[in-house]
Amino acid sequence: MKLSVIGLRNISRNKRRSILSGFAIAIVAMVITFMFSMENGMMSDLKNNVFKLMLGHFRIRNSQYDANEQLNPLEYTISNAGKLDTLLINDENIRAVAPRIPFPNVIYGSPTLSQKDIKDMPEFISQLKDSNEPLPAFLRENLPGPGKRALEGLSGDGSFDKQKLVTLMDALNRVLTFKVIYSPERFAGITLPDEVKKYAVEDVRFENRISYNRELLDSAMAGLVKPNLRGGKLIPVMGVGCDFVREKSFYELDKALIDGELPAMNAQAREVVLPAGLADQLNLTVGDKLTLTVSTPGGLNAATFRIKGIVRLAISTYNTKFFFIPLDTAQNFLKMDDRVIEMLVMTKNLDKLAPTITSVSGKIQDAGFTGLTVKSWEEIDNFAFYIQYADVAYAFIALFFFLLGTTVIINTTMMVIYERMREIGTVSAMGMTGSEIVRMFFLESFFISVIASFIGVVIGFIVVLILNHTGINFTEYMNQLDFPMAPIIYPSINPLLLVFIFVYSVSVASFASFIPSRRAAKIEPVKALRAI
Amino acid sequence: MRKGFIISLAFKNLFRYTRRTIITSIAIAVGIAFFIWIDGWMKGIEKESERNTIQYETGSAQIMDRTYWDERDFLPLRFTLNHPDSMLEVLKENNIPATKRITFSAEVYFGDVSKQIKCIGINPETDNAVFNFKDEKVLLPSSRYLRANRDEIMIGRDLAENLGIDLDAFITADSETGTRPEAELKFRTRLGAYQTLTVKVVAVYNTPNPVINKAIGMIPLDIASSVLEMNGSVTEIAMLFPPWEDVNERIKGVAALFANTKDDLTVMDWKNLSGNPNIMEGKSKFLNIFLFLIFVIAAVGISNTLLMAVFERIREIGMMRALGMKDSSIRLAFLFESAGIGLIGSVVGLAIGAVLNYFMVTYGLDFTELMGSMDFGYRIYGVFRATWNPQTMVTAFLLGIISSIIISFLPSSRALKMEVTECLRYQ
Amino acid sequence: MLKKIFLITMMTLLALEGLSAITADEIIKRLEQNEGSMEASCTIQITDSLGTKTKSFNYTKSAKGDMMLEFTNIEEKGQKILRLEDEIYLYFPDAEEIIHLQGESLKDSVMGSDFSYEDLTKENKFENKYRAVLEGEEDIDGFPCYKVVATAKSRDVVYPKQILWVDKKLFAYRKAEMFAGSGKMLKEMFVREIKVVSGKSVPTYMEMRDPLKKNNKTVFIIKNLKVDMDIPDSVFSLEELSW
Repeated sequence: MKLSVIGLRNISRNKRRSILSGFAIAIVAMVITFMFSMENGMMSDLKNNVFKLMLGHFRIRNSQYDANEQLNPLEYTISNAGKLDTLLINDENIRAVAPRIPFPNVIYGSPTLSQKDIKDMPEFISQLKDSNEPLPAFLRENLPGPGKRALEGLSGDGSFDKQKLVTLMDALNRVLTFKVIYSPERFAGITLPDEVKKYAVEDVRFENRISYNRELLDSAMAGLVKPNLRGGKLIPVMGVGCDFVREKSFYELDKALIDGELPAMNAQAREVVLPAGLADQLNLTVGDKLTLTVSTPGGLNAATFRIKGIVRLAISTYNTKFFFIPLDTAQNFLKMDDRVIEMLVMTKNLDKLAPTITSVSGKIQDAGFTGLTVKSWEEIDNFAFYIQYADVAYAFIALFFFLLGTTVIINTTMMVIYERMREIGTVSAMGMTGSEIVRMFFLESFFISVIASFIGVVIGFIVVLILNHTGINFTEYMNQLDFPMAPIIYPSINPLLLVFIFVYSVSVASFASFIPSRRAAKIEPVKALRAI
Repeated sequence: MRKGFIISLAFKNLFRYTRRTIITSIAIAVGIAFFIWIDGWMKGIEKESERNTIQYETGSAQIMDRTYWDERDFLPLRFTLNHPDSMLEVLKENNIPATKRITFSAEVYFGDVSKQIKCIGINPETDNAVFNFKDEKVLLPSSRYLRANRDEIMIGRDLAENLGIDLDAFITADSETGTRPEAELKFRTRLGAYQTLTVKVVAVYNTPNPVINKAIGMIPLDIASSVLEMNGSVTEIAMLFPPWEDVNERIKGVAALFANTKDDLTVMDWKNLSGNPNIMEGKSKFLNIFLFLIFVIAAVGISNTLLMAVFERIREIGMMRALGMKDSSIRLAFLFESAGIGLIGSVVGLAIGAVLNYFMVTYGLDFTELMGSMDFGYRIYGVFRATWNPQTMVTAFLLGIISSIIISFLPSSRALKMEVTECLRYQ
Repeated sequence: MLKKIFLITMMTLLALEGLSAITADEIIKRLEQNEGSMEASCTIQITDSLGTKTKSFNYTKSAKGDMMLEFTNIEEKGQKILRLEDEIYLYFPDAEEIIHLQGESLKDSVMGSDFSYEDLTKENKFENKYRAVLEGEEDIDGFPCYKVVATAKSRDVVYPKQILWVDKKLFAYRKAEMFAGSGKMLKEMFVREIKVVSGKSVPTYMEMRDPLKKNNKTVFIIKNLKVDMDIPDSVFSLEELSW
């Protein structure tokens, strides 16, 4: 009888034993598949974020900007950015280009009233519409035309037309800016806290009016209006002027949008996209306005922006410290003409990064650009290092797994064979030679491991496919995480690795059979028969 | 039947089936050893980045004026701690290492180059109790740590490079007698008057915390105090807590110590203080998944060998039942035996894990070669170090024993459900 | 004979003493008499390693010291700085709010110049801030000047020490040097042109330099100067600006 047939029969003869042994192999194969896919997912996520959010595959900047990076010196720019952009985007090795202007600035803690400052909007609207109390009546009467019409159009059922609400808030802020809301009769029935009493003045200078009015309004309508969280505070943030269409390949703000929309290029519109964390912190929402002050090389500038969209960004620093405005708005705000600070470039083939950079650098010089630095992502900061660090760490973890997996497989296989000492004695007594016994057990292990590894790899692969689709959400762990890694990881795996894992488990299991079976084959049949 | 008998039966069984005991305990031991090793390693990575922040940037926590904290981005010298020495006294009584610092912004001039930097006045005598700038590995060759009451500065390597200081010349010159580069600091005093200070660059440091290497300079505290006209006040007091203690609890404790002072103080932990991305933080959270996967593999290994050990002996079980041994006693015997295997495996695993971890803690794994030719400047960058995590060791140990018991429970109860004859016939 | 010589010498000395009997305080007083309400259009050229930037603005100052700057150059067109007593308000055409400068942002430089907003707030009289000592006379650009060394009376003065060269005839600066507490010179100012309008001498062309930095110069030019007029208080308010 052929040994392979005996091996196969042995497998089906003692199903329990075969299943046990196969189970171990399958689990090891599955877990290793899953582990690799996790590592893969984390690494590609890490790289992706470094590329997309921070560096691109390579980055072009003014050399002086690079040298003074920590100061964000806006005077060191890339001039003639349009020409450079065209040059880059037409290069056959380049997939995407994102011109950006990052600029540090301060959100002026404005005393204006935002939609979120109002605790109970339906009640607030209805008071404003119908109340005969002197203060709401005063506000209503002084609303400019569009604000009055918007107020009339707003019904009291709680579902408000967003546009009308924005118009009303603008109108209210206009009243707060221009009018003095305090008068003894308007505040007759209202007791003001001591610290607010000093704002109860009838001839307030225009410059201070809105902040005085806001303090008064907050106390007078304490049930409806939240105290101003922003007033008087200067909140340092990082603005980024960027092209929202181009950023589809980089920041991917279009995917991150949770409210409103992304602004179009229109310098005059002055629209801003806030991340959710910052919006919460400032108590602002889509339609509200905020005023930014910035130190440009020429001096201070300030402008008021309307919040057009809110995005939820995976990385907490971005979610609380960054905001985005259209590139031309930034250029206008920072008085930068057509200049930009940096160009992030994604190449078509990352493996050819170095030659691409050399050729692009050459082209840039030929086109007459001077004083620019082209840096590949590996040269910038320590990201390449950290990624390599992670790579090595993962390689080590993988090694652990293989070692552990090997032990488990060897253990199981050995147990299965040792258990069958008597059987070995029987077959050798019947005249089977030692090498035949070894081969028989080898084949048996081989068949089991082929089946088991296959099942393990396939199950692992299916799990990965599902998780690749749904992602594994780490959000709750990641509140304060600044590393460029998203809280949702999408495991993925290289098919070649699957083959490798399959071959690994089959070979470990098959070869593990040698150890006990060779020993068993050497034992006298009599002893083997006596073994327990 | 007497418990003693059951235990001795289990004990005898352990040694009767030496091979099986060994194989099964190896599975347990390897699983536990790896579990401990990887866990220590992951914690080590996390601790490493925590240490880099604490040792070079923030200390474990800092005490500062509340308004200073609110406006810290502007480094306002108007909001200070006015009685730092009495506060340090209180901290000393409570055995908390602490040091006072003055942080201010300055412009540094060197040759034709000028840079805006954050300047920190440190007390050369006590700063080392909290921070780690005295470390030889941190200071470039030929650097000398700051001395009190001298016009000198210690700067980061990146800043030195940006200023155009010739580092080759610096590291070859003698630290005492060699010529040291001189820089000019320009800043405004606490009250707003302009002031300048000519300082000798006596030390260049290169810490594993990149932020600190960039735009920061350190001068002796007494010099800073006098040129800034601080009148004895400082901007912050940095403290170091033992790493095993809960920072939040400690902060509460410190806040309580100063609850009765007139000043409006705030105590902030290093996480709040460090504004820069904490590169490795949270990564270990992901790695918990790996720990779980390791546990799965190890558990499969253990359960498999144990299952087999039990199944293999179903006939034996039948025999014992036929001889009139009670089911509960048989089960107990098996449980004890499994527990024994679990115990042996766990002890061995714990020992191997501890040894591995010891090497990882003391020497670390040097990957400098593997990391390629990149010059990251700081030695520790390429070395992975582990940390001791007694909690995991205890958990892994108990897990090894308990899972062995639980896993053997299943097959033994199956065997006990079978008819005695069936057991005896069992293959 | 000896006695005679002695007497003549004594008398000459006394006479000289009598002639130059002006004290440093009086010089400062005369300097400040040249200040008052004023209207002018100004230009600043700031040169640094990056090149030269030019800003222009209209300047209005009331007799009591309130001040309004309105920028007229293209980049900052329409921006205003208003100083009322000790408060600084900024108006930007694109901002719907008036920025009330507070806290540390007062230390920001005004339009990239060497002045900070804080420097604008403290319109404290020179004589209150400095103790002045006359240290002799020197010619600056051929004009005879008093050399006055002024040391700050308190620690919160931006420049702890200044040396001024005041034109003997016009009682206006010809040159000034500003020092840090350490004695290091931080700013050097030369007045190249002084105009006399309605009896008041006003420096109309100044050059400033930061000796610590290379390649830097700030030139300050005043044109269309009017002094001593009545300016209504309403000018010093941002109220008329609306959007």
